[in-house]
Amino acid sequence: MSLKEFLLTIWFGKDKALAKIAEEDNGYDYFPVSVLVADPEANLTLHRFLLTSLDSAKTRPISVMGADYEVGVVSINPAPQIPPFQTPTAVSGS
Amino acid sequence: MNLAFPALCILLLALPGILFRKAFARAALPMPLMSGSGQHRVNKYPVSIRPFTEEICIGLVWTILLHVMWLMLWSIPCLAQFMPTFDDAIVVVHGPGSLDAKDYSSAIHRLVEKRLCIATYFITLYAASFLLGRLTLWIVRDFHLDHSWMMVRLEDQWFYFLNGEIFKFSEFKQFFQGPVPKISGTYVSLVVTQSGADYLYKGFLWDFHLDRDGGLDRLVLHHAIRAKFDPPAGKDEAGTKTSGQPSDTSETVVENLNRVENLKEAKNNSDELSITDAGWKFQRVSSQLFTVRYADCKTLACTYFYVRKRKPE
Repeated sequence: MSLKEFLLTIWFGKDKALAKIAEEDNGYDYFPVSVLVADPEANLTLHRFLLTSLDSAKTRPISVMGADYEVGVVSINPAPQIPPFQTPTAVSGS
Repeated sequence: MNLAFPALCILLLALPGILFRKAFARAALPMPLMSGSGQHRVNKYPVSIRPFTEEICIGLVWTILLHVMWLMLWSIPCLAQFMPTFDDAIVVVHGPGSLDAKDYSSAIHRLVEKRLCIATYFITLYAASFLLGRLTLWIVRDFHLDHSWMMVRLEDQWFYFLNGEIFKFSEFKQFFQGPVPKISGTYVSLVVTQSGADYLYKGFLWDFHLDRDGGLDRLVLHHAIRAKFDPPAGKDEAGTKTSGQPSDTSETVVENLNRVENLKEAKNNSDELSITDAGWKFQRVSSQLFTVRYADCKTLACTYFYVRKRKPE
């Protein structure tokens, strides 16, 4: 238990603390990349995914020694838009 | 001797703030207190490399705060009673130069009588300053206070960029629809010139090192692959000319066909040492770790990815 979990448990109580942590994790357990690169086939699959799916919002399942993981790219698409009150500085026309 | 002693006293007085800053802002070495999230890469903390004068100023502010805090603590009745007089401190720091030798001598005698108490005060203050610096850093990092508050953010832009923590900054969170996923790794792409030719390297970030000025000095990648970087002249990867005009349809089709052929070739190729993408054939770098000087890189790009599994209900 990390210090954060410990303090959350004291402050909110165990059930609420666990719910708060689960909400932050969005219902997933996150793993380091080392769980994939140790397997040569998964390593290659991960390379291919990262080479070809940079703009994809979809995740890709990867299986490593019987365990199924999904891989995704952190993307800020759609790109932030310029607020409407800002006008382009380039001058066009006469 | 007359010059050196007051200088030594000033150094001893200013040391708590310096130690605090050293422990808080220069803790690049791994720390045993790290909680589990960062175990997939070298466990390190951001550093804060500021100009010397700025660092001294910040250190002096912390010195005053730490002395005030420690003196208040030491004046508690149940603890050792120690409250130096302001006059004695000034006399010692100023030195005997323009003072009456009798006053100076009596002040020194009073301090010598309390030498054990003074030594204990300073030794415990130094230890507490260092531990407090580390504790502050741990709290800031463990509770992600540096993501929310710029005031406690360390001056290590490379650390936050290369680890993808910029996405968690309060000012950037607005770009995401939902919660920002925890980043499992950073996929680094860089172009390096070797023997007159450009090579595109891609690999997973393992570690990085900064130089004395806080600039990026060296990157360490693992499971790196490389390809000769020679994109078709006048066209970029998306099939558009560099002038911004779309390329001819026939050219695009030919390029796409080439790409499909390359992908088929890679698929059929049982040799696991090659990956083909965008017309470039990658080869695995046959080493555990690959290090490159940032000064040798023409470009650097990072892709942040996550590896996750849905929690069992």
